[in-house]
Amino acid sequence: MEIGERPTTEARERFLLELDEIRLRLSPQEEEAIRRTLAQRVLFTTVESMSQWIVNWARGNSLFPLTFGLACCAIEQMATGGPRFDMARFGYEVFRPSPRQSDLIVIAGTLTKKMAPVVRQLWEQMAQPKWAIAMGACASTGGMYNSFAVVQGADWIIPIDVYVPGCPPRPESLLYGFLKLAAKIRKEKGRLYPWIK
Amino acid sequence: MDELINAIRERFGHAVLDSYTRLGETTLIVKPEALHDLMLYLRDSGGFEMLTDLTAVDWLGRREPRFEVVYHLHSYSRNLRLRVKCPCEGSVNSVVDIWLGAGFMERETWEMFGIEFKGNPELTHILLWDGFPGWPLRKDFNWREDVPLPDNR
Repeated sequence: MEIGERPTTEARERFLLELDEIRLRLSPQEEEAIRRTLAQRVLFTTVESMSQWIVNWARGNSLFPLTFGLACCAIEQMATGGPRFDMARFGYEVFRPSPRQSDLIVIAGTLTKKMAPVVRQLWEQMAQPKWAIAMGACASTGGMYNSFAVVQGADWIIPIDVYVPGCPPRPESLLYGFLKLAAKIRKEKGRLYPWIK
Repeated sequence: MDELINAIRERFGHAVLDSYTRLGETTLIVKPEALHDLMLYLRDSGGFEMLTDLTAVDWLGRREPRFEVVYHLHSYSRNLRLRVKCPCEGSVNSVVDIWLGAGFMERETWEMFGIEFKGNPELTHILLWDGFPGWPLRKDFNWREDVPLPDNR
């Protein structure tokens, strides 16, 4: 069969016959060895899922958090970015000052009802794809503030991917939350093209 | 301090409902009608130059009348402190013309308890957003259901 020739029925039958001849010439041991080599050393995939894997890997390991803090949790967040706990080990150290450049918002602290419209607007200004972490008890559930002035959980305002417990959480907890988010991103399907929601 | 209390009782008569000293802290309880005159007298004759604090208490179902406005006064010149309580039904005279600093405290008390301070030139929201429904520190305020989020602006 020449290159560029359309496979006619005849050509396909001829090809299959040749394949049968090759297979007949192999011993069972050789056939087993070929099968094992294919399973171990050759990756069967599609362009779509391969690029999905690469994109997810890149996104999960280089999150750009928004420079944003609301209360005492923000202090722990800053410590996480500092040299002792060193968020840069995992590639999360690039705190962006603009929501348009960041793909992660960490709700670090008590979310009051007066602040809620601002947070919502920041979230809407962030470009797709984007994720959110609720850091601490206040951002997760309202915490100890059973009050008229506090939103009872940031998920009333924006969709949250990872909830980090603690009051405030240790920097290690926040790092674990980041890694959990990265693990979640690695399993994502779709959102391959940023311009398609 | 006792001389001052006696002078006030003599001057204002039945408007002073009660007065007592406990643990070195003196408290006056007055009717809302005489409040403004009493405060003016305390500042000018009593030497209380400073209004330290102004707040309120909601005694829903436990006392009549329902609210109690509490003033804490301080005299630098005589090193004295005095607490004045004024039981009321949600409306008292403002003391903003006596101590200018009372303005913000009255606004906050109005915002949290809904107590109207007659004579305060600007009773508007200070901590909460405009259009906040109800009075959040009242005992019958249902905060779980009654508070919507503010508008996005």
